Amino acid sequence: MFVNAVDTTDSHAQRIAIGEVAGSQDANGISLVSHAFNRVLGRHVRLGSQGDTIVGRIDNANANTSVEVTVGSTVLPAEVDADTGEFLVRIDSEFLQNPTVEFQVQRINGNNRGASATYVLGTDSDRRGIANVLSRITFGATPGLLAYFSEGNIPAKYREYVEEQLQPETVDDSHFENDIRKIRFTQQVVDGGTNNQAIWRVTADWRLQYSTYSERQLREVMTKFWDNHFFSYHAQTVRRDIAEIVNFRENAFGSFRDLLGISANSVVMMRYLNNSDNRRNQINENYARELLELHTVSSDGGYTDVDIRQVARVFSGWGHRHVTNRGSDFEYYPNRHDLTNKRISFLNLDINGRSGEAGKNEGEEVLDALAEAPATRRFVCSKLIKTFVADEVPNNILEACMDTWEETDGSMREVVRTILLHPEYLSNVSIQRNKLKTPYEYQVSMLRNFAIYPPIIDSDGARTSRFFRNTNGTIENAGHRWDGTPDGNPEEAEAWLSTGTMLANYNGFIGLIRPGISNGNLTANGNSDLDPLIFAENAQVKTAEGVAAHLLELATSDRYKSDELAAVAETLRGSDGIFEIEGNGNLDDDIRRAITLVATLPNAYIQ
Amino acid sequence: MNRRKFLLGSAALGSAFASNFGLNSLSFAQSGGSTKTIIKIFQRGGADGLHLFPPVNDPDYINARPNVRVEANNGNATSAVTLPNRGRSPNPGNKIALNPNLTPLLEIWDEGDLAISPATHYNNSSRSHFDSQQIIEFGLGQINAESGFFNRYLEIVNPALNDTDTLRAIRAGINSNAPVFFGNVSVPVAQDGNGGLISNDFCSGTGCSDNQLTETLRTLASRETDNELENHVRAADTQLVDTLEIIRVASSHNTDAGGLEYTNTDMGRGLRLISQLLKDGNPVEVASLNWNNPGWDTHANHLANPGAVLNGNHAEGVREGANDLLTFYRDMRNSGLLDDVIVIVGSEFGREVSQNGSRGTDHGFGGAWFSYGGPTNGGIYNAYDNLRPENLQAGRFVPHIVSYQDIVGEAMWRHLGVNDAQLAQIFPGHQFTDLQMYA
Repeated sequence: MFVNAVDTTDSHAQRIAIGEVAGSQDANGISLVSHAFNRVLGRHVRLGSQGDTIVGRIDNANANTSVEVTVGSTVLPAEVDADTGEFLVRIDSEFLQNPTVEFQVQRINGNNRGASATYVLGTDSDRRGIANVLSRITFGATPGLLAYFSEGNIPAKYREYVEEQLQPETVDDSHFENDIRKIRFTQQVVDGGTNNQAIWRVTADWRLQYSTYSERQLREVMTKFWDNHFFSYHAQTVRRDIAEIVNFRENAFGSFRDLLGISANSVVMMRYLNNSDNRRNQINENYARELLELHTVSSDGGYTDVDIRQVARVFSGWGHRHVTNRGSDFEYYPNRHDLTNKRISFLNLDINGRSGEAGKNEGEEVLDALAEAPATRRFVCSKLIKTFVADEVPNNILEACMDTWEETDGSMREVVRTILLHPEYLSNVSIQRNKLKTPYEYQVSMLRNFAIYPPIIDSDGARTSRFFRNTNGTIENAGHRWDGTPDGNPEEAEAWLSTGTMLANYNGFIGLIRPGISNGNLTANGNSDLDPLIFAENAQVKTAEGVAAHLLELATSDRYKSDELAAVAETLRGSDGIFEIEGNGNLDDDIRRAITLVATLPNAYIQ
Repeated sequence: MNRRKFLLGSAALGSAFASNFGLNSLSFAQSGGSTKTIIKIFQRGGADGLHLFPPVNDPDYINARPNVRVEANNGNATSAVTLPNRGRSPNPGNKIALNPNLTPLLEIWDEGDLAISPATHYNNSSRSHFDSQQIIEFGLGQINAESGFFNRYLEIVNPALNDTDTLRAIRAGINSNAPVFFGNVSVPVAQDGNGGLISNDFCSGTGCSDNQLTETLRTLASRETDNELENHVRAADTQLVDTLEIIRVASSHNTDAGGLEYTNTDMGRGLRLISQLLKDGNPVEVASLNWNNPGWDTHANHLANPGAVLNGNHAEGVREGANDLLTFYRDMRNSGLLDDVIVIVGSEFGREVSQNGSRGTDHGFGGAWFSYGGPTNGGIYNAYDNLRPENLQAGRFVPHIVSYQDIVGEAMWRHLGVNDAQLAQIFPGHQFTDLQMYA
C-alpha cells in the first residue's frame, strides 16, 4: 500500500481515530505534523515497520522548550525549534511490529515538566522500499532523487523511472555532459599521450565521473556490471580500455550475445587472457577456460578439460596487431588458426575447421552456442540478481529472469526490466537492506548522497583530477582492483565486510570532505566541493535532530536507528551542547563533522 | 544451488572422522590463548612449483621446457642454487634445486628449518583458480562451503577466546579476504601503519576531542539491531577500533633482521605487521596473507628469453617475496620467537610440466608447497621420482603425492596442540598421514 491520504476504511485508521489524534491542534498544545519521508501532512499516515520518523509541534515554544518522547521503555529527548515549535524523533522498528504503536510526548520547560499527550498510531509493513531500491539501481540516491520519490504515487513513479532509465537516450544528461569539470577523454588524448600509467589513471577518473554524475544511472550501473563481468586489464593495452568501456556502455541493455562478442573482440581481453598468443600447435587455453568459467556457463557448466582445449583451438588466431604507442586493434590471423575439426562435447557442438577469414566464424559459432546455453542464463541472471536484489539469489526472481532471457533471446533490457519490476522488488522487506556496498559503491554513494563535486575548476583542471584520483585511490586502498584477477571484483558481502576495507573507505572519504577554506577562499587543501549548509537549509525541522535526520535519510535510505540519530545530533551540538543554525559561525564545520560520523555508521555501509 | 552462507548463528560441521595420527593428542589449554603461531601465505594465481624448485637434472624437465627452464648450477647467477642434503628428509642427488630468485631461502635451508614438498595437492582437484583456492581454503573438498579451515580452528579450539579482546587471528593486508577465514568467527583485516591502517583518529574540526569518533562508533556498534547484516557491520566496527589500538601500540617494534628490511608490498607489510604483533605479545594463533605481486598465472612469456631467469616483473616479485620471507625468519630468530612460528606457503595448483605455445605454462595439478620456522624439520618431502609422462597426472601434470591438509593439519596438531577430534572437525573426512615435518 502506498497511500498518503487518510484511509478511513482501514481498521488501523479506525484505531487512529480512537487514539484521539483528531485535529492539528491536539491535546495540551502538542500536535503531530508529519513523518519525515512523507512530507505531506502525515497525521494519519501509518508508521513504516522498518523504523520511522515523527515530526511534532509544541505551541508557544521558546528557547527553553524541549520534549521527551517515550515509546515502550525508551525515552527519546529532542530539541524544539523555538521559532516553529517543531521537533523530530525516530521510532525504531522494534516498536513498530504490532498494528499500532503508543507513545507519549512530554513537554519540558527548562527543568520543569509541562503538558503531555499520548498518541496511538497505526503501523504498516514498510512502504519505503523505494529508497532502498534507489540505492541499487543507481550508484546512490541524490537529495533531489529522494525528494522526488518522497510523495505521490510511488509505484507508478518508480515504473516510469525504470522505463526511462532503460531507454537512456531519453534521459537528459546535458547537465553532466556540459559541466566544465567533466574530464574529456577523446581518442586524441589516448593517442597523444605517451605514458601508459597516466592514461590508466585518467581512464579510472573518467569512468568514475560517469558513475557519479551521469543522470543515466541505470546504464552506468550496468556498464560497471559488464566491465566487471568481462573483467580485463593489461598494462600494454590501457589505451584501448576506454573503447571497451564505451562499447559496454552503448550496449549495456543490448543482447548478451553482443556483449559477449564485444569482450571476445576486445584487444584488452585478448591480451589479458593471452589469446593473442594462442596459435595452432601452440595452444594457450587461458581465454578458453575463463570464457567458459567466468563469462558464460560457469564452473558447474558441465565442461571438461578436453572441452577447454577444444574451445582454445577454436579461438586460435584471435588476437591483435602489434601494440604501439598509438594502441592496437583486434585482428584475426587465419595463418595462426588450428584448421582441424573440433568437437565440444558438453555443448554437443561440432565445429568444422575452416581456413582463411572463415576460420573466425568457428569462434562466433561457439559464442552463439554459449550465449544460448541454459547454464549461461542461470549464471548471468544470478550475478545480476546479486547486484540488484540479494547475495542469496531468490529462486522466483531467478526463474523469472531466466524465462525472460529465453523468451527475448537474451535481451538485457528485458532481463533487467524483469528483475526491477518484479512484484517483490519494491515491497519485500526480506530483500531490503541486505547488501553491503562494495568500496566502489560506498565511495560513489557518499558523493551522490551528499552532492559532493570536484572543486571549482582552476586553469589546468588539476583539482578536478585530484578529486577523482583521491577517490579512486581510496577505492583501490579499500581492496577494489582494476588490475585484478579475471573473476573481477566480487559482489558478495563477505568479500568486503572487513576492518581493513572499512578503514580505508572511511579514511579516504573523511580526507575528501575535510574543509579547505581560509578567509572564505578555497585553499589548496580543499579536496572537494561540498556545501554543508544546504543540509541545514533543506532539513524539514531546524533542530540538531532535524538536520541529523536529513543527513541520515540520505545516507541510509531512511533506515537509520534512534541511537544513530542521537549520536549525530550530539555531534552537531558539539562540546558546548548547543546547535544553532542562525548566526552559527561553525555551522559548516559542525555539519562536516556530522557527515563524517554518518559516513562511518554501519548503516551507511549497507544498501 | 549451493551457496556460501556467512550469516549463520552456529556452524553445522561435517561428521567427525577419526584421524590416523595414532598418537596421543597434545594439549596446550592455555586460558590466555596459545603463544604459537601458524601463518599461511597464499600464492594466488597458480605458482609454477617446477620453476621455483626446479628438478634441474631431470631430462623430462629439460625437454618439456626449452624456453622456460632454470639450468643446473653452473656458476652463473641465472642458474639454480643447489640444495645440499639437510635435515630429516634429505635431497638425494641434489634433485630439487632452488630458483636463483629464491636465493635468500638458502640461509633457512642451511639452518635445517626449510621444508619443501614439491608435489602437493588434494583429491578431486579443480583447475580453475577460483574454485581451487576455495577448495583448499575451505578444506571441505568443495566450493561454496560455509567456513574456511582457520575459521573452524577458531570455532573449535578454545572458542571462549573469541568473545574476549584477544587477537587470536589476523588477516594481514587489505587484499587478504581469503576463504580460509570465512565463517562464523569474525577476523580483522589489518595493514601496517605505512599508508594502510592509519592510527590517528577520524575526528576533525573544532570542539572534537581526539577519540570522539571512535568512541561514538564503539558505543553504537555495541548494540544489536534487527538487521543481521547491520549487526555484522557493527561487529566489524567494534573490531576496527579495537584492532586500531592494538596495532598502534605494536607498531613501535622495529625490524631486527641483520640489515634486511621488509619490502613495501602486501607480503612485506603483512609479515612486518605480524612480527610487530608477536613481538608485542599478542597471542596470534593463525594468520593469513597473500603473496601475489609476482603474478603467478604465467600463461605467457614467463621468461622473456631462454635463461632470462632474473629479468622481468615476475622474477622481481619472487625476489621481493624471498627477501621478506628471510627478513621475517631473522626477525623472529633475533627476537627469540622463531620456535613459536610456522610459515606455510602454497598455491592453488602448479602448472603444466610442458610449456605452452607462448613460452608460458597453463594450469596444472600438483604444486610446490614449502614451510619454515623453528619447529620445521628441514628437507624435501616426498618429491616425484621423475617427470616421465607415465608418472605424471594425466601424462601432463605434477602428481599429487602430499596432501596439503597433512601439512596444515600436522602444524595445527604438533604446534598449536589441536587434538585428533578437533582436527577431524577442521578437515572432516581427511585421512591424515604424519609427514613428521614439524618437531
